[in-house]
Amino acid sequence: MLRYRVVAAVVVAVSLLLAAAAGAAPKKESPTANPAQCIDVTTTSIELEDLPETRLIRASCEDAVGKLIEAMGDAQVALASAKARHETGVARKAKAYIARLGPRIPQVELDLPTGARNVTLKFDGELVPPDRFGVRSSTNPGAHTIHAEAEAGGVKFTFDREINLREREVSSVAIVLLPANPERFTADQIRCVLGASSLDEAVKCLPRAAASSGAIAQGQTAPRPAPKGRPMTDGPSATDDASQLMTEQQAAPTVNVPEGSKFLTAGQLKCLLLAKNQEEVTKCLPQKRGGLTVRAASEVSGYTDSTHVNVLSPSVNASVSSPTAGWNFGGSYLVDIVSAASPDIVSEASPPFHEIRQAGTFTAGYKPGLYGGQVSGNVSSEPDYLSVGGGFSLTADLNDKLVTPTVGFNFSHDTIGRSSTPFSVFHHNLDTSEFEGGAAFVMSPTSVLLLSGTLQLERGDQSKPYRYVPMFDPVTAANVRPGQSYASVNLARQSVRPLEQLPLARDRYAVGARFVHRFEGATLRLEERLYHDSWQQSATTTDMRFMTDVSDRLRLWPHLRFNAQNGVNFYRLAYATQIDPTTNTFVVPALRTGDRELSPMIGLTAGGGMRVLLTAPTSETQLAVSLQIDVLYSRYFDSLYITSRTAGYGTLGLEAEFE
Amino acid sequence: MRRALATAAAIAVLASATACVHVAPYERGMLAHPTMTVDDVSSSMDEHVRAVSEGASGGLSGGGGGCGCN
Repeated sequence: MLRYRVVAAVVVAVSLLLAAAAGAAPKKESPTANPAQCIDVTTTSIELEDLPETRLIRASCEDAVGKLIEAMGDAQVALASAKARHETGVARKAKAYIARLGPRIPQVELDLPTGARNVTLKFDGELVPPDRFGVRSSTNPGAHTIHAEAEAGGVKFTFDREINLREREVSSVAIVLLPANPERFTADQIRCVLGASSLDEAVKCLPRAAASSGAIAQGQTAPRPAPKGRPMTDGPSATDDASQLMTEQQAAPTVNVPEGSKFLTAGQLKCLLLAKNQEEVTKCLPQKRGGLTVRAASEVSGYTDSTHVNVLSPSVNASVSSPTAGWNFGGSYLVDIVSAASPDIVSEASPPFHEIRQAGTFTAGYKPGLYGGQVSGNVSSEPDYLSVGGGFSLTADLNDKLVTPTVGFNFSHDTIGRSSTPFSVFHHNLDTSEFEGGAAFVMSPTSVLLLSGTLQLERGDQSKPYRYVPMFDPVTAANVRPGQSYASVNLARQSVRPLEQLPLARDRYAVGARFVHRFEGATLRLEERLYHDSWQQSATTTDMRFMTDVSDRLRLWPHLRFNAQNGVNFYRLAYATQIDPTTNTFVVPALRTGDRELSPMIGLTAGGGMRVLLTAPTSETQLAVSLQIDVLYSRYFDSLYITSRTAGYGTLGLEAEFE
Repeated sequence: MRRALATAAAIAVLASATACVHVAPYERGMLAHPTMTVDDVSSSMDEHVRAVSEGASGGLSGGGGGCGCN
């Protein structure tokens, strides 16, 4: 009975307070009409007698002022108390209120960078224990402050942010620790710090003297940036003479901040930390207006294999681009010097041949913002083969550049002739249309996935005009073995010597995935391709590179590749032919080929490469040398003359980049 | 082959779903590393050897050929 009197007294007291404030006759008003007073009154009542109904009233008043955590606490106490008192009605109300309130409470997770040690983290001024770092915690909606600080390598790093949480919001805040005095560092140094995987790595981004002078001991303040064009020094003999400026390498923290300085201001850094997408980040950093990037490279490649094919291929390429304006164009030129005495040539008693092929490409593109396009053209010319082609592709940056789809189309027209014979006298045409589509996905801060597919439509006669296909009588054909020598083949073959004849159309389908993942100091690149075509050839190809940054200037990588394929549906080890008695002529198969790449085979490539940067990593002119060497072993399961081929090839390159 | 293409399509759908995980702009520093490009990093000789020694073509870096080299 006393319990109910106390509850009634609380309700009446709250109502009288409201009535007194309104100056009107006492009316029954909601306790939440004046939440602050409601909380005071209920708190006093709870101190007198802790009743579950009073707790629920206080919870509703706390709810009205956004104190959801406190409201949840009172509701949970009310539920436990009601259960203990066997007050099922009150318990039911408390339980229902808890179920409605729970999902409304916002949650926040404070993520620290990896490798961050001895970090002091405060939320609304209160210290967050280390075991709560990265753990999702409930908090009230509204404004909150986050402050973090740490020290590494003698440099103090800090982070400050204000966040505003709404009801039901789940927020993850990445703590980005930056040097305490950001105005002393360049845009590139800050970019480096933002990309560092640990504080120790971040310290390496900062110049030694700036790092040591950036350390702020207890009680000191950071040096003020000087007015434009005037030096600042902590020493006693400040002077306006630029020649007497103390450089960063000297002990005294003198900083000259001339007009148009490339150092970031505190405002630019604050802009960086508040940026919500990539575009906003870009706008925060000083823009290089009118800057161009010029790249030039020269390569020499060589190839030799166990079938006596040797190729020497020098090439050059160059490109110019404007990262700010979004345009680019470039081109390349190469020469293939080929000498060949393969079994196919020897089997026809043909002499080894030497040939020179020249090829050139050009490309140009424009991408001023989220959308862009690229066009390209190519030409390849040798005495008996001419190929001309071109294409375009369109790309877009979607979902804050986390998804980048691309579509493209390429067309080439090939003219296939015979050596020493003008194209006007003899030629075949081969037209290839290729449709490609794909998208790159940013999977995580360290992983990217590319999914892509191509459809190639080949129309025309791509049969080799030099490839004669041996024919055998049916009995002999059944006894021919893979790898049979050309001497024994020549003895057993029929006198008819038809040229290769391939189908006049080929539809080729391929899908591929390329996964790239960055570890600390190394990148793994994995590729897989699945292929099928209308000639019923299928193939699977897997490729792997593991690129390790041994130092700032040296990168090494192993390379492995595996390809397995079946043969096309008209491929035969030995083609059978018979004489038609009515016409007394050989009846040869309509489709016939001796191309080992159309036969069942596997290929295994193993090799590696290295790249050495000859200039300092931070210099505007970059010069590098690269070397890549691979060995390819091909195993043919159903081919004449040879059952395997081993090839070695490599490329030595020199590249330069100027800004 | 149809099963392989259907599997590839399913992977594409899953990948596009997981790409909805947001990576903040200041978390993308590693993605700017030169080895993290999704473009083909092989040399021109590498591409040429593949084009003449493998029956397959396309998928990730487009078709090869254009020289009747094999």
